Amino acid sequence: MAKYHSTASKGVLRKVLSKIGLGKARDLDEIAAAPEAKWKRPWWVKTVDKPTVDIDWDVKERFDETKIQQKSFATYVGDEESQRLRKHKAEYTKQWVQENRPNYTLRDRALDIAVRQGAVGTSFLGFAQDPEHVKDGWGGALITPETMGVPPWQGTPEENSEMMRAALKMFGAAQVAFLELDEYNKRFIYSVDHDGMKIDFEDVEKPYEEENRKVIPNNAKWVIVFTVQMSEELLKRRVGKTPTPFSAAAVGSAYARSRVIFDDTQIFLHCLGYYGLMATWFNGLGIAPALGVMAGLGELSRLNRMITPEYGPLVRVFRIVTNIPLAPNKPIDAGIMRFCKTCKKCATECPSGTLSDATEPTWEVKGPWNSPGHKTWFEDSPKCMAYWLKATASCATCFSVCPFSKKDKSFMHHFVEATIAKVPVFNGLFTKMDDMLGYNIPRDPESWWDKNMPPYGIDGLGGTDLK
Amino acid sequence: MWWFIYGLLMGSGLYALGDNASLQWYVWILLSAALLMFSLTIQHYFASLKEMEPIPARRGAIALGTPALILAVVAIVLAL
Repeated sequence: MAKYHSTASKGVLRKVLSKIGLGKARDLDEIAAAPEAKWKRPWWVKTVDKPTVDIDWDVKERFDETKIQQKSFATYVGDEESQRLRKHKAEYTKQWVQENRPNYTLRDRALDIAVRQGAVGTSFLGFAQDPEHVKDGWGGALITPETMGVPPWQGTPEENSEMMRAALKMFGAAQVAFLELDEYNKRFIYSVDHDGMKIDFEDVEKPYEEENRKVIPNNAKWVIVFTVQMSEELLKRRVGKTPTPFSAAAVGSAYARSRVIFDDTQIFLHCLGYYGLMATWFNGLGIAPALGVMAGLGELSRLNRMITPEYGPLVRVFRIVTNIPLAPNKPIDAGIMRFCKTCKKCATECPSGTLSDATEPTWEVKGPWNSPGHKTWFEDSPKCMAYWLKATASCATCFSVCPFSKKDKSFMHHFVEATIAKVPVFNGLFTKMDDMLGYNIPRDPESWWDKNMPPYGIDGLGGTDLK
Repeated sequence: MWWFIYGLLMGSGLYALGDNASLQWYVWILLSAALLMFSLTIQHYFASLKEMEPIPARRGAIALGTPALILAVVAIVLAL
């Protein structure tokens, strides 16, 4: 018996579907099969063909990661200044601990150091490639399709995507999206990784590493991009604009938790007969916010980082390059980048003057630490790094003051976000409202020790079916 | 559960009011607007406390609750 597709030919329905980004679907079955259909997002998040940030593909090239501030700080400010600032950080950290200075005590420092342990990985290829060190839960070797006598897991790209999203969320990811590693998106994979090793693409079957380079096979055609939530309760525990070990711990904790997701995902893929390639440092392999924007996890912002509709900027973004076929997601438009043009709160509150307060984004980079080829608000990164060392704690004040940095229980957040997406004329008012309602008053850092926090200090139900 | 109790209370109140007084249509509109604003005030206040945001809870309650109260008072004055 023939199976007919049900059609959606009515003009009104088409108009509604185009509003939610499904206007190009030919029939209802295509709509149901679209990657966006299975990923429940707020109704005001619209999928689009091009991201809201302009990209000049003639200029955009693969970027050398050793140019970023954390790697080349001494080059940008000079060796002497770099040494002076590092000495300053060490001396003041010790002095404040000895003075038992509130918000910088021994236990506050211990928390920051403890939560970020494990934040740095060890292998581009992953633990799963090392059967001596990875066993199953019973002490045996990991199963693979070969040892089980079956072919690698076979599913359609859509089925594989659903499977990977479910698995990664189980491992701890907040959002999961997929991207095709085509000739354009490949430009977001670093040319040189953080450790100075080149990253090359080759026509080989399996990835490998040599002394000075990492090789991604050309059959690795997809990227899994995922986010890990940061604890808003930790992040907002600053003193005025100044960061504390509490706010720094919010960042470190998210990085540390990402390693569990990386390792679990690599083992999961290994058992299914595929591979996943990962970053071996806090940042590595590819420009995570760029990949996240292209995969529709969020939009680029004045931070020159990604802001998501579900969690605002309160996430860290990560990527895994893989050969399991996946159905790519599209970029989104939720009015976020447009809102950044008038808001400017992050730039105003930034204690180091790193962020641009220009109304319009620009193609002009601030320095060699920026990857050129997209129109954004480029940041003066060495100022940021210098401030971290002066403040003795890594700073994320720009993230914590962002009007999108909210939990999602009050109706007001949804009302405001939907209005921002659809009626931008009120954007200026919402920025003022954010201050008037008192959302930016920092919490007393030491009060954190008296709170009864959920695991990892995050509300993990946001944006899920359990909410 | 709390919303169920809130609905019961408000529903009973409106039923009693409609049953015992013949109100003008504009009074009903004002009362409905007041009730909506009051419901939003309650939602925002308790949701913000759950978000560990006591200051926005209070300020939001004032910002939403004041017009709710004014609308309710105007409706009552007009009804008397």
